[in-house]
Amino acid sequence: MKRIKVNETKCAGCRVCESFCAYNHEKVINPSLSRITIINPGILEQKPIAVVCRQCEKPKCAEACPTGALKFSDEKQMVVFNENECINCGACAKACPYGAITMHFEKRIPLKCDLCGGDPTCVKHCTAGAITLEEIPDEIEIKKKRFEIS
Amino acid sequence: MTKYSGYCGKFLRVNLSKGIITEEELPGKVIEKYIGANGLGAYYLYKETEKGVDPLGENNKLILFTGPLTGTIFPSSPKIGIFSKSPLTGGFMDSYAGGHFGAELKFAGYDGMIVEGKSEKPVYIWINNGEVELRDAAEYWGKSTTETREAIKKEVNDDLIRIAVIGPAGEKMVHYACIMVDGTHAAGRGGLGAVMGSKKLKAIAIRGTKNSIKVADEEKTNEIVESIFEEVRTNKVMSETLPTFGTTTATLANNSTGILGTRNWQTEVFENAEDISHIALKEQLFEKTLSCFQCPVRCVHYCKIKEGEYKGLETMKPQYETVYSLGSLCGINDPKVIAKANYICNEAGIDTISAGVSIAFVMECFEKGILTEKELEGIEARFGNGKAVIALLEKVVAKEGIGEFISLGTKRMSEKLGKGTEKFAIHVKGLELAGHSIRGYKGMSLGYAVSNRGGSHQDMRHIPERSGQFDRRSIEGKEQLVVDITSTTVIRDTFTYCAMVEGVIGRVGLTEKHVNIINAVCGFDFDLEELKTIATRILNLERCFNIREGMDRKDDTIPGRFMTEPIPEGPSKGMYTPKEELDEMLDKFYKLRGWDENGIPLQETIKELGLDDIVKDKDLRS
Repeated sequence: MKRIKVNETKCAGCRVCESFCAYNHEKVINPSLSRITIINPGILEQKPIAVVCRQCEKPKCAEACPTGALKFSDEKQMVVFNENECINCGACAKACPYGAITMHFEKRIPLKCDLCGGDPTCVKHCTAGAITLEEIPDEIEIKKKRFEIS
Repeated sequence: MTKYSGYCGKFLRVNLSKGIITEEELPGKVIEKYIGANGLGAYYLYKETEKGVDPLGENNKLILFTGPLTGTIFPSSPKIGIFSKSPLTGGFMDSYAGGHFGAELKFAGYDGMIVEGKSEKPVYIWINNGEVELRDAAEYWGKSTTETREAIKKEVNDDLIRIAVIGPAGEKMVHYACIMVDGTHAAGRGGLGAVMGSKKLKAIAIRGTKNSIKVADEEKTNEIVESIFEEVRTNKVMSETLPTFGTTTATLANNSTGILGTRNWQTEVFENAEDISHIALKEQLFEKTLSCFQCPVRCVHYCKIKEGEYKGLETMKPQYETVYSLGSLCGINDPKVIAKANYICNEAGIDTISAGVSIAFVMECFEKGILTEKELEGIEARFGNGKAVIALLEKVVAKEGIGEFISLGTKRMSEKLGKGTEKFAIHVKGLELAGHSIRGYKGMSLGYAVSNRGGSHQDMRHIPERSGQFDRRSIEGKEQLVVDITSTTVIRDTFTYCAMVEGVIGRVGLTEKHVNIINAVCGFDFDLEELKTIATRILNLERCFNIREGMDRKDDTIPGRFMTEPIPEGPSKGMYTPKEELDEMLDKFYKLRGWDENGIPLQETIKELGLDDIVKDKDLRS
């Protein structure tokens, strides 16, 4: 499956990814409408950490969704969102253990990374080369399988 | 609400005397005449202050404005412009900080704010999207910039808010106190932190998540933005040099040309320049590359001192200007001392340039026997003595003893001392000189002299002469060069974008590129002539502010040293700018600007620029 990975050693915390993500999806610039968020804790903000959907094979957001608007698509190998089925309840945002989903403050729909249809704008505009689109499996499911945790 | 994109269309007015906060519309007519940050700052400061206003009094105003590019996808445009009458120069002051604060203000719904009056007790302004309030800051008064920032984040329970803050030096109104923005950036110049301190305003904190910014013409904006991103990816300076070294490669570049300010500009060749080079800084200090909001260039560096007396100390940058002012200018050859000094300045909130130049002045006075070791409270202020630099800085930020004297800045120190010290008091209009030679560039000689801020390297730019594009040794045509370059720097500060992408957009003269950017993002219909008029209008309005406050030709000058002492050694040996040369350039420049021989804008110039609605002739000619 394809996932967005962020090399935080390279990340300079510029948040170009956030601006382009919001702009690409919502036609406006506002980091709170971005699917990817760079968290810069610490007094000198020297250790940026990225929060972005990891496209879980067994997604908690989909589990929590009462209508099936969110689900892991075997065909697309990612978690897909169908706006038509969304009832704006916000259960997905609460359920995601990674904080990767927030709710659109006006439309009340989840802001969920769709990999920009395969050519993510965040990857394209990261001049630090910190953000990449990688073909990698869900490591959590691999580990759980090996150690027989169900 | 304005019809133009890139704006929120409103700003805040915070009256600290009355404790009243209101929202005001940013009128379309004002936007069309002044566009953004620099323009709006000049307009409101001129309009809303009276002649002779005390910079540290209740009637001075502290004005903050973003530009219309801030908070859009336009790269490298994070700046917040801060404007006031300067306690250091007594004139118009604008200083710009990067970071994320400017964009956060837009995402909270405001293009800027005007802070007026004076609070009785320490307060800070808390902007939580559309809700704005004054909060008690008594427990933060006296605290460092970092301590204050961290405490406010805890108080409002959000780690990602953006904060502009003053340190103890601003509270004590050190004349070159700065405003620290986001911890790693500064609106450094001209004592704006002292103005904030005089108002008992400790900080401005913002949470901005609810306001979205649009661009007018998406297709054209995308095209321009993508071309700049491509340039950033492929241009060696922007893709390699700046991310690896910040601006610190200038140290060796200037030294090899013989124009690196050394030991208070007694010479411009530093024999130990290699010790404080970009390579030395990278090895000894730099740990990680960081960046401002929406900037793909990445010129900021997180530093950690790896060994020695200051081992473990963490700070941000230093950039070239600090390596010059607290390094070569004080004869310091140890990056660790520069980092420690940078740390003291950032935490107490003072401008590293003015601080370094002021200390270098004291060092020269000490070596010449004008200030004694006793007067300096036992500090042996010899050039090259790192311990002395640190000790003097600590006294400046505490404004204690000799520190109170040094906190006045070079101009006032030399006025108090006399004894010919004004010749080597390195300032223009009271603002200490940045790290780009006056003697080594004829254009910079004129540019510094006529800068409305004074000794700033951000009005006239040195790069077109350093690169050889223009002959730095000739005064020929320099009046036109200053006009052309300052038209781009004032537009840079008005739109606003950072000096780091100036090269891509164009440094010498406004072009269709500038016009296309602002039209695409905002939806204006400007042509090149109109944009040129706006640039000239803003520069003239700043000039009128200074004239109103008593400045004229006598203030358009450079330190005596640079008019009488040739560079004594090195590749630029023999260069200086005698008064006759400066006068010749000034005469031509004034003529070109439409100013009289005393440097005062003619009545017809004011009228042509449409400034006669706020600039009254009696303000200029009394």
